[in-house]
Amino acid sequence: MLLIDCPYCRQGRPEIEFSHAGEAHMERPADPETASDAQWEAFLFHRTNPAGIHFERWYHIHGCGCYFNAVRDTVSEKFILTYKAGEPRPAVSEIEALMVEKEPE
Amino acid sequence: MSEPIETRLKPFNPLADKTLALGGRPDLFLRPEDECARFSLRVPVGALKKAAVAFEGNIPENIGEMSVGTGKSALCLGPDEWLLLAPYRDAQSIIVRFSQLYETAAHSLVDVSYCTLGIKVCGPRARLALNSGCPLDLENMPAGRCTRTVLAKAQIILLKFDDQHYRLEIARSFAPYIWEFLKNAGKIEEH
Amino acid sequence: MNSFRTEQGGRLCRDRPLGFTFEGRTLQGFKGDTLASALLANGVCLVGRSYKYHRPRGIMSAGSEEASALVGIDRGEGRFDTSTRATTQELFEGLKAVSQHCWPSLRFDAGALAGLGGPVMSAGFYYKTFMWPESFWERVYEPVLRKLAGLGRAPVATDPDIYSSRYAHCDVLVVGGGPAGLTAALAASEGGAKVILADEQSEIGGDLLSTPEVQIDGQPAWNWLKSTAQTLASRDNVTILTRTTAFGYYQQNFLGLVERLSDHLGAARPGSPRERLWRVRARRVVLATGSIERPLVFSGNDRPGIMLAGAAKTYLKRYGVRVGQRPVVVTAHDSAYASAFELAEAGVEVRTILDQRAHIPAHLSKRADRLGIEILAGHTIARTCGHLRVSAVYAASFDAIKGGRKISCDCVLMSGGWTPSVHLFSQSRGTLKWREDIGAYVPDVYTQNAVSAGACDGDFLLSEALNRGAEAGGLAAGATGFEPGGQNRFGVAGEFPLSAASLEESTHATAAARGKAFVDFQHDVTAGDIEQAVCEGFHSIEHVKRYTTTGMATDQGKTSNLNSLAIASEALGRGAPEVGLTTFRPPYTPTSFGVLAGHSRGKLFEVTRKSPIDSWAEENGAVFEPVGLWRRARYFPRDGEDMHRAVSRECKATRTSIGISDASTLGKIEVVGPDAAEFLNRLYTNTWTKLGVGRCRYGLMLGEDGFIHDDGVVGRLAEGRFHVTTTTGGAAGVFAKMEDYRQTEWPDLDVWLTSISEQWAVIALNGPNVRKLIAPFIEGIDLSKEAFPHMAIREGKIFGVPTRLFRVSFTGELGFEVNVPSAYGLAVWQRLMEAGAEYDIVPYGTEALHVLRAEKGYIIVGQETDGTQTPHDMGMDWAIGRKKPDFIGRRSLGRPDMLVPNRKQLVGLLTTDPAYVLEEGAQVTAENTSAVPARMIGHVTSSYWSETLQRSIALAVVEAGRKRIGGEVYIPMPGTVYPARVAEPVFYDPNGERLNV
Repeated sequence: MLLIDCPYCRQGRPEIEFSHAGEAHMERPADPETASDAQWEAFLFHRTNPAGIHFERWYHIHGCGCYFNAVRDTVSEKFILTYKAGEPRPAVSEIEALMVEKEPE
Repeated sequence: MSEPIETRLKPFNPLADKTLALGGRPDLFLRPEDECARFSLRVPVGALKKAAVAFEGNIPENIGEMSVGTGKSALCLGPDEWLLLAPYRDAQSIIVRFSQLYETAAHSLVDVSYCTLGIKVCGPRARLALNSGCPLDLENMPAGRCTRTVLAKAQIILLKFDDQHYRLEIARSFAPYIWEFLKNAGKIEEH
Repeated sequence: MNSFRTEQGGRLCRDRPLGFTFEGRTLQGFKGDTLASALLANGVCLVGRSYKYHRPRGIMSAGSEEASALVGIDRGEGRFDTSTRATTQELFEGLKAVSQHCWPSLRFDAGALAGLGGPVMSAGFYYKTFMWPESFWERVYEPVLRKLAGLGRAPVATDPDIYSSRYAHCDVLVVGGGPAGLTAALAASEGGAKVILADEQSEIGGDLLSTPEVQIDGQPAWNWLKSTAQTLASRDNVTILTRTTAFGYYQQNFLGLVERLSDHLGAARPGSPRERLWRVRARRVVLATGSIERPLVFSGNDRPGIMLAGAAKTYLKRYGVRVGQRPVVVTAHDSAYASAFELAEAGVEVRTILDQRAHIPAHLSKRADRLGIEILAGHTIARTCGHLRVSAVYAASFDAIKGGRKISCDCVLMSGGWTPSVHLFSQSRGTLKWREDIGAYVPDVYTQNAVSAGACDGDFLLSEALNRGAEAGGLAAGATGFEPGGQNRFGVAGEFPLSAASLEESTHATAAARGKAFVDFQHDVTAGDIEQAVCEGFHSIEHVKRYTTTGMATDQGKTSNLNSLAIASEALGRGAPEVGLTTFRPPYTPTSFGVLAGHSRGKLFEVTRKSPIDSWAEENGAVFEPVGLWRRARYFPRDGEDMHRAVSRECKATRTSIGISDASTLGKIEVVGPDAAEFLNRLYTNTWTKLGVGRCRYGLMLGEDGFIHDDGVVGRLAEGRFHVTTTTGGAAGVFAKMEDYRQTEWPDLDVWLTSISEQWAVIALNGPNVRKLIAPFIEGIDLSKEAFPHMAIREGKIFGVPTRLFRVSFTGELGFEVNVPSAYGLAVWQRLMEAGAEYDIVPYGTEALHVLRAEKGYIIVGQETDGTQTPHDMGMDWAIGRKKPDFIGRRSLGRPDMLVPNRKQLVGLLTTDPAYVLEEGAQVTAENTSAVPARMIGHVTSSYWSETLQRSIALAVVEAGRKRIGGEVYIPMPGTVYPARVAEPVFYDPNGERLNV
């Protein structure tokens, strides 16, 4: 069972308190009616599904009730960092620095 | 505590008349908490002071903190979410004062008195019974804190007063399950 | 006392004799024995038959790695455990053990014939054989195979035991209580860190339990062990768990442990658990899991009496058992000499050591010489003899492997070196590196906060294990913020020195091995099978494993993995590190289902949510059905009615007078804030801004894909306060979705959500007499048609209880839904039942509800819809606020696929035979034929007998259905095709005249 750092609770909490909520930073077009069929299709269905660094959303459903974002390595399953909804996507350099820092000695 | 509603109808509580005492001291003691009024308060942190005035009680600001008064308690469950507990006799005035507050500070106060039931869990074996199904490190959870979490297959709100005194708030339809679970866990851990 | 049991020594309580039976034979052992040691002490060598060839098998090890000595343990009704390792089963008074895979008996077994006809069951046997004739499978092959195959027999009775389960947290978890684990726990706990020490055996000590001859810090090993155990036990911050296996290592130092509480006593005491599951989260883990000795692969290496050399020493030192009188030792590693010397010194006649290595360390040959033991360097065993126990071996050099010198014996002690137990480390996703000097894999890169110490890290010497353990424990304490202990070094005297043996030497014999040279003893996989698999083109070790099933038995290849790797690597002509290793997966040893289920059985198997009115329904004979976690009353049979009759009666009463129904399970959400209406505008297809206070509207919610997700009635209580209802099953999902959009898409809106599903009990009253029934008990609400029209909400009191009273209907009759605080639901229901007697009020369940709404063509989300229906498909364009710029799913309604004319649309179906009720889910075709394949154009979603209309009715989704109205479609069923007329989906009161009264 993973421990997930909820950025609102500022605490590592057991995975069973959370539910996964899909890929992060999937921007809903501000005015869907002016989006082309292709743009809308991309919003609905296209996901990156990487082996490696993944930006994803989690819902602390049995905790503080907040949705937040996480960067996670889908290969090792490790969380690299979590941040509040609405905050910008962290830079690659920041993520890489954290990955090094988080290596167990 | 005064009866919530002035009617001759009898309120129904699925845990009514239940108590459980295991072991001598007793090691595990379960009892339904006295009924009370409950409100879910959602308010931006900026308006929290005003809300506390309306509540006529302390409302802590950070998630996991709780303020337990003689009659009124406030639990901070989320960044803008609180559970307020109060005697029934205060319920109406709380509603009125918050509806006045709404004019100047938008918020949401919803009566959830009957959504959950409270269970008192105490004794030297209380933590063990809870940890039979709750994944949190209850030993290292500071006294005087609260949180929403999971116990076995149900969501609960957990209040820790000290290592041997806890209160759970559980949705009514899950409460008999949680009671059974704690009873079962308490009995098994007797051995 | 027989000649197998020593006169003294060991860790037995010799004053506590224990009686037990094996295969019905009564035997005796002592407290402290395992079943295996007790059998050996009684001279019992034949324990079971092997899985595939039914070859006689004995005891090969003294620990949890055992692959041969598997028995059934019978503790009474429902307490039969299959494939229990005799080497880990502690003896208790009255233990009953039976052997496995024997038919008709252990000593004469029919299945053993399979082994006589040559290589009839080689690798891939099951894939290649029994393929023809096809008809033989059911009648011949399967019954015979079932009789012969399988690992033991499964118990059939319900498990009467109870199981405990708990979460635990600690600073340092030490897995393994051998020398390294003990010093790690000592050092880790010294500064106050919370430490859990888990060991699978009945007492801590690990290898020390088999080496009383050494001295640690000037004390005999067992004295040191005793004082160390006492020190640990005296520390409040240390929890020692014996008989506890760490079976799984999951993410972020989360480990699963099983503590066996009563298997060593027979049955558990009444009320006490048999086993306990520990779900441990450790800040740091010290793995001190030890190592496992490898067998040697030679022809006939599985005969009873052939065992690992280290095991023989354990039996002698710990259990006071001489495993034989005339052993032959065959080895590729120094450690076997220790066993040989100890046995010789205990009076056993050890005559010969065959060492596969060409060069023997001088100190070993000297000591052997002194004890009169002959060493044959560069020799191995060519083959073995003996039926139910080994009686002789042929010793041969590698260049003359076919001949050899016959040496008679009654047991063979073998050692191919030691394999570090890296199972848990690998489960933690750490990567391994190959160490040529010890011929094994050891931990390399850690991915979690863990460290290995001792033999599992390749340090086989006791002194190394003690010091490395202390070091690891000290570091663990430091890493978790405690004062690191463990600075002292341990002095060891009398330790048996080891030089290294390479894996290549240990498996040297295999190339020349003929006949049955076993690699995986539990799955009967031979060296030849692995070579054959490579020959047949299986070059990946993972494929070799699956084709031959090596390492796939319940022992997970503890003794076989490295040998199969060596053989495969030799056959492939590639080095072991290039061939790689198969994946280690939990559980480390077999784990009972009972302990994994824990509390979740019986009443606690699943949460059954009951409405506040459920007890009335139960007392009044309701038949329930599950709806999500809820149970809901389905119908209320009277006087022996079946469902059909009860439902017809309930429907009729509702249409003619009053039906009462419990709708408390509906999801309810209070939406509050200045932007509440705008929020709902964006969530639902409908328009909310213009909904007046005190009015209700049916709301339809789509997903972003444009398909119907949920529905419900929404009432406006105040300008900024709405009471939203959802479906019973959709409640949690709708709330989560609303929160998602509120928090992440539209954080600018001032609106908040509160689940009030359990705040309100809901009593639905339907029928022409409902207003008359409630009028006398309502305060503060004008019930007249004009003041309180259909689709309105009022707040007031009923029987003095505050109510949110909805005037809504899901039946097409005049309807009110009485919301009262849930604690009062039951009392209000009872009062309504009493008052309703005058009108012959009838309670109805979900089944009648479904019929009544189907008569009106009201859809149920999840029944008429399956996640691929748009509002247009359901004929619900009226629910769409066309003028709104956006709502969830709006854009998708304009996608090309949504506009095609042949989408499936909701229609009614009226069967030509009015008495025939269609099957729900039945397919609909356009042609009157039962020929296959037929083109399906839709399916029946709801189908009932309508008591009101005195005929069957059905709803269906059919391609371009609305254009087919008036036409005919066909429903092919086995043997018959049922024609039906396509109709409007509203069968009753299409103009809604009964609602607006």
